[in-house]
Amino acid sequence: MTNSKININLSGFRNAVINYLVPLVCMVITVVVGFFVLRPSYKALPGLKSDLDTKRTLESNLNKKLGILNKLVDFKSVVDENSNLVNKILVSEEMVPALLTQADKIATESGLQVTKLSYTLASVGSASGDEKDTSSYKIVEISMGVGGGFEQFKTFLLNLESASRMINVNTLRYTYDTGDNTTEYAITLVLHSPYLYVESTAVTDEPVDLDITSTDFINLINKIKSFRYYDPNEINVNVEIIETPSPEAAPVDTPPTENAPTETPPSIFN
Amino acid sequence: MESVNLIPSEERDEQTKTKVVKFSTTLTIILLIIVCGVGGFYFYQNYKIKKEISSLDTNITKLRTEINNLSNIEINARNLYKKSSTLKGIFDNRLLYSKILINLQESTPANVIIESVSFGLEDTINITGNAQTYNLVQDFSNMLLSKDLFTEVSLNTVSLKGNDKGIDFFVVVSFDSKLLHDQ
Repeated sequence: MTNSKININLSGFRNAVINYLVPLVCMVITVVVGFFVLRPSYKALPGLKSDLDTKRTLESNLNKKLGILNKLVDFKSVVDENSNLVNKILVSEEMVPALLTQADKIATESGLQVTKLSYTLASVGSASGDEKDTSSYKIVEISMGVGGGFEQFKTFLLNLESASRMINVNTLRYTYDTGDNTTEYAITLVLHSPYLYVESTAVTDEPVDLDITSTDFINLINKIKSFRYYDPNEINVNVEIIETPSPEAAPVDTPPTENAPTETPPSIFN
Repeated sequence: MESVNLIPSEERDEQTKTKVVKFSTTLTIILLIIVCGVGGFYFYQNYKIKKEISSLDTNITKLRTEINNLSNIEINARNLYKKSSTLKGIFDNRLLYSKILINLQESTPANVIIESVSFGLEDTINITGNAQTYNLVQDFSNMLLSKDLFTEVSLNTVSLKGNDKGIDFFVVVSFDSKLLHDQ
């Protein structure tokens, strides 16, 4: 009688366990695992993947940068030489006396007579043409008047274009000069000479873009090497230098019809 | 012929109940296994990624230290790069006016005299000169146009001077400034 009572109780308990407890426990564990493991892991995964990608990129960049820097250390003398060359053609400061000396020297060596030489500062230019460009540089603007023959003028321009430091012709005009028998043509030029002061800092995580072995860079350096350097210490004291007070000097083009010559000049091209 | 179910209704209820219980138990166990499996997979992925990140962090710290030791050469390199890239931009954009003079010289026939040259807006040159005949002015124009550099020649004024002094002319010549860039 007692045994049969116990059997009934165990059977009921077993049924209750099978019927309710196992599914309930499974559900509780499922919810706990889902809420505390699956959900946070799933949510964290994209962030971690992104973080991993960032770190991988950073590591790759740093490796690349270290490689470049080690190469630059190996070729330190070349880097120094190239820096000197670049600093000669694109100087860090205005260095106006040296610039005017160079312009005057190029003109006189080309057979031209310098009749006017003045300068202004503070113009801004940029390599891309956009003045907000980070590579913006400053300009010394030179107004120059020279006199001479056409061949001399052509030589002057060729010398100017291959001179170190860099001088670019912004605008020019020339007319037959009837008032001066010693010169054939009166030439007026506005020249721009860029200068750029750079003061970089070491930024560990940013890559160094300089590649001294790239074709572009080698071509640039070879071009600079072919330019002639004019010693700024040789100053011609006979040239009167005038500093124009206005910081912004606009080149003026006189209408050519108003300055039409009254006498027929000799042919310059024949 | 119709079949007759002789199983009592209590027994049938019990069988149905048992089936439902078995099904729900199996379902929850399968669900648990799936959740545990997927959860474990994501947990392992996180663990693996965190371990890799930790390894990368160590490597990055090491690389940063090495790079910091080369800060002097880095500053020199940055200065050189900035100046050289600016220079390249200037070279690419600057106009070589000597090319204009050379082309102008080559395009000028004998007995045509260039008296003045000035540069106008939008890549134009204003040229005044003197020629012996009208044909020479036309020749000058044609020779200018035969050059790739000059794209258009506009003859603005032509005036005959007396006493065999020829013809004064004023032309506006358009040029392709791209051809004046450093090659």
